[in-house]
Amino acid sequence: MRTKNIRNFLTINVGDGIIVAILLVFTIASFGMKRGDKENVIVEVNGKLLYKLSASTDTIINATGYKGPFKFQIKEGKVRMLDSTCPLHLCVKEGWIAHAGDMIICVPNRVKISFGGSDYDAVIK
Amino acid sequence: MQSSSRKIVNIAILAAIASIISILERFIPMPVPFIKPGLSNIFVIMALFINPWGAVFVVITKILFTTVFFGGLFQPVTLMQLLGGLAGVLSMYIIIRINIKVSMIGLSITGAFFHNVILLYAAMLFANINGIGGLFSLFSLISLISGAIVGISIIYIMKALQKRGVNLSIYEI
Repeated sequence: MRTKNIRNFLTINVGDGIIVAILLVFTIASFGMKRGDKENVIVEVNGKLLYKLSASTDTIINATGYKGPFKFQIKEGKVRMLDSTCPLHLCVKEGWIAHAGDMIICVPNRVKISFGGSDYDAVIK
Repeated sequence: MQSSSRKIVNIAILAAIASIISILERFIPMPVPFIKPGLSNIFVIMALFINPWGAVFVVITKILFTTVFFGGLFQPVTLMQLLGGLAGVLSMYIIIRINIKVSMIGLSITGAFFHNVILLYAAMLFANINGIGGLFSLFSLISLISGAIVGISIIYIMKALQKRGVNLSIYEI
């Protein structure tokens, strides 16, 4: 094998342009990449799975949390909390969530609403 | 000094500098906490030119050093960092071996990119975090910037060493 000295790597060359171009293309191409699965809406109360619903069917569901009832809505792949038994209603004020990785958390009522893929029952903590 | 012992001593010194730099760079404020400039990779690449296994040694030393210093030894994060670091070294070694006219900048960008991508894949595999795939774009942009910074730094360091009459003959792969 031919040896290469570090001195040969000190001037900018054609290969640098190629590598930078490839990476720029990759950056732009992967920009709109799927940000993970959001096929299902996962509703957990006190750490236990309560609902696993398809994100594409529009519904309004009444359920019972740790402290009291809550109501959430699924519409066009988005979810929001409509009403909840909690003092500050921060979960309601959060509004719609639409991306994988987003979640609505209601601490007093111990409710967590998040997106999940079709293969997993829950995300490992 | 004999060439082989000079190489060993140089790799040991580079490992020590890389360890210290990787601790110090944690104190540089960054907009997002998990982003690091990766300045210690300057010394990984310098070690790579002395000996590929030397670069692997520098990577392992620096990761062990930082995990002992900041905590988190033998946690998944350590394994992720190790996989990322080794992927970076391997990709840079391949770039050197195939005959492509490239400078330090392109080399370190390649290393940074594979480091970040393997790190992200390992995170998806071990932590099973949903929605992490959207970070690929951000990560490749970051590796472009940090790789360029590291590459330019090495060029300046090497030129400074040359000017001071340091014999660069051991930096040969």
